[in-house]
Amino acid sequence: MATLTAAPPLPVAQQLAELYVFGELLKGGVNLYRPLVNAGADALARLADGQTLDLQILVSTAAAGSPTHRRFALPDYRPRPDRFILCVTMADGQPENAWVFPSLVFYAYSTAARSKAKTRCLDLDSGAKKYDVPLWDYLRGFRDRWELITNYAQYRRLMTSPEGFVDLEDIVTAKEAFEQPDEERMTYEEYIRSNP
Amino acid sequence: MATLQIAVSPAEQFVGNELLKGGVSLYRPATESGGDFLAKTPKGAILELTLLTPPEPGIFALPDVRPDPKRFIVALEFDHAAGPAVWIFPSRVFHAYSAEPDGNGLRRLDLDEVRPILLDEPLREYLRGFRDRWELITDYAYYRRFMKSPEGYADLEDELLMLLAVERPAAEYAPVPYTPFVPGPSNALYG
Repeated sequence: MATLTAAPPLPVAQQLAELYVFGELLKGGVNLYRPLVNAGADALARLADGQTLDLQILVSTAAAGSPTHRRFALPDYRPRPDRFILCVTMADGQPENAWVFPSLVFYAYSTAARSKAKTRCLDLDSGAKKYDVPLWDYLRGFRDRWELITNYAQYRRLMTSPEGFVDLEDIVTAKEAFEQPDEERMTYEEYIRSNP
Repeated sequence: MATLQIAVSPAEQFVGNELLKGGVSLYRPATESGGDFLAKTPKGAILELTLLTPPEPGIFALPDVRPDPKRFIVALEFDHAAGPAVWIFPSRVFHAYSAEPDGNGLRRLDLDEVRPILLDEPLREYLRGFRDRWELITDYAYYRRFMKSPEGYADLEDELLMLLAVERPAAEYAPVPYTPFVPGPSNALYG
């Protein structure tokens, strides 16, 4: 049975990551709840329509350029449409980006660890061989995509089937391209080079 | 091992601990204006909890809100002599037994109020089935079926009273006066 004991403070990076995530979600009008006892989800998000979502906040404290800068791990789990995994990277001790992954997306792109403790690990710097680009680029549509949570009602229908997730990836990637066209723009020379 | 993460009031800590025994996690609002608490049952149901402590002994006041099957009022009484008493009221039960909203829009439930229509006993006695009945939350999957209709709530009250009678028969036992049957010439066993 779990018991209440004296509280060890959360690591500073985890606190900063939580504050960053909470701040962004509060801007979107989401009510957030923290567990009284640290067991299970890191937070619950309650939307205006009464829908409740589980949030798991992961933080990577590795420095930029380190091979584990964008590597996130958590105990193995069963994906659910109402569960989100938020992966926060840090730069110079401050939150840099948050990747807002529906739990099925994290599950699909993560790998199961072969150790005794069953964990799933998502390394956003991997995947170049399989997807031609690293996962952080391939899944860039989910970066700081807070509306997946704040506007969950609109996306909910895409989170109930594998086909829906494919559509979701396309939608968020297209949105990202509209929002940040400079990053998406390809010169004519680059186009010719990539399509010989 | 689970650990207490943030400073909490004694009432929150007490409720959190009792719920944890039943595998329920309690969540508090991250902001001051966040409203009530949320509880997550082992089967994943999310319930809304309002924690109340009485301004006067036995009197609980709450802004008038619409009852919801997933909303519970957890009313705490701390009595140094008798120890803490916690009343777990489904919001519809609180709504049904509390007085109409006053000028401030507050519904007040006075547990020491006596209503002739309710067997002339104080509400504290009439609603005793809801006292320390944590399983309404921890075993919500079972009790949910009672919370779908007014008839269901009446059944719930009966069910809880029967549970109480089974758990604490001495408290429920009321001697019934009767004359023992003694067979005799004028009182034959077989007529």
